[in-house]
Amino acid sequence: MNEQQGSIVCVGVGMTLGSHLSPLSRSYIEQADVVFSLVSDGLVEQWIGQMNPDVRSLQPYYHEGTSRLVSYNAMVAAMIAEVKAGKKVVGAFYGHPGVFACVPHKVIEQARALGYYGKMEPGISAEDCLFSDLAIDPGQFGCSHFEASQFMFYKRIIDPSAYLILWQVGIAGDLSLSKFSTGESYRQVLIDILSLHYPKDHQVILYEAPTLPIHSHRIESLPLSSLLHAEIHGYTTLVIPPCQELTRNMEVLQRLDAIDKDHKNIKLV
Amino acid sequence: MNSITDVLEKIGQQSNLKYSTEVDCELQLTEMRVPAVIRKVLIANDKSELAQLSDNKKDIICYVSAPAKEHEMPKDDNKPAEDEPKQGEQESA
Ligand SMILES: C[S@@+](CC[C@H](N)C(=O)[O-])C[C@H]1O[C@@H](n2cnc3c(N)ncnc32)[C@H](O)[C@@H]1O
Repeated sequence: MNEQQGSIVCVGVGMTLGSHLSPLSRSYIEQADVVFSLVSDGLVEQWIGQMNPDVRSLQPYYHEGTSRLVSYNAMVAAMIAEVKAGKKVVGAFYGHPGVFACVPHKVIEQARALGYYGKMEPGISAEDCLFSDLAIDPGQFGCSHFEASQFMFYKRIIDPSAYLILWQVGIAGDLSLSKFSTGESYRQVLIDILSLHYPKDHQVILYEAPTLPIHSHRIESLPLSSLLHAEIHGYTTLVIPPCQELTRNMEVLQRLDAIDKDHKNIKLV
Repeated sequence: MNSITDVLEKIGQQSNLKYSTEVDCELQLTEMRVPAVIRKVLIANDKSELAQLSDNKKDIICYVSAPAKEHEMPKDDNKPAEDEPKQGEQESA
């Protein structure tokens, strides 16, 4: 299919103002005909606003009481309309535009399906900051990530010997997708699910990366049961360290050992 | 130096300001010609004062993800959705 004139590029501006934006992403923002921004701090929004004469915030699409799916679809439609008008459109999203963010994925997919150019440019996500600030190497014990509500709505396989990271924990359990925060009764359900796999006194971590360079991160360790009354914001991520040691898979180890022995025998022959 | 975001961008890009003690930071900000009132707020790390100074009073929402696509969402009455989501099809990212 021949590509038509309009285009969409979704870039990540990272988490911290000034520190994380890549030169390429900045250039995309500066060169765009129109920029749509969705960031997590008013000052970051202002900062992006200075990089291009036509920057439009996606914040007005959120309405408490309206499903976020409706808001997300409207955001995608607004961007696609400009792409169809033949413009070079850029979506500037905080963090990494493809990490726990359906809007950038959707708009690129739709633009491509219509024959337009669509691309995603990575950014530094909350996850990246979390690994640095909490000194976690996801390769050490393994690490699974879930959107907190999805984790509650569906039966998932939990591995207590790996890290478990829950995103959007501030609205955990919201079936209506229309709340900006959920309260203690919803959180109690999450604690109950987690308590099936982790002791109630297991230390979990509430993490917040700084969005302004003058601030520091929040790392609060607390027992799982204390999550109920903890201060949790829209920008808080819940980190649950492993509570079990890795268990050897003896069957696989024996098979691998047998292969090693076979190889040694072949060499001897 | 005219806007707060210019100052913040500079701070975000300078490693020497990351190591700084309060006194160093004050000096650096003075050298960057940051007005005294903004300097004070920056050093005090006062987010709400900063938002006020920059005319920034908006409540920002940062959710961009959903637990499932519309037709895959469990219903409000807690009955399971007609077509249960298949692995790999859920929309969390
Ligand atoms: C829709 S996701 C967007 C993530 C973003 N695309 C990224 O790359 O980090 C929103 C969730 O990201 C996490 N998050 C956002 N800002 C954060 C921050 N400053 N520190 C830690 N986690 C954050 C929270 O779990 C929040 O509910």
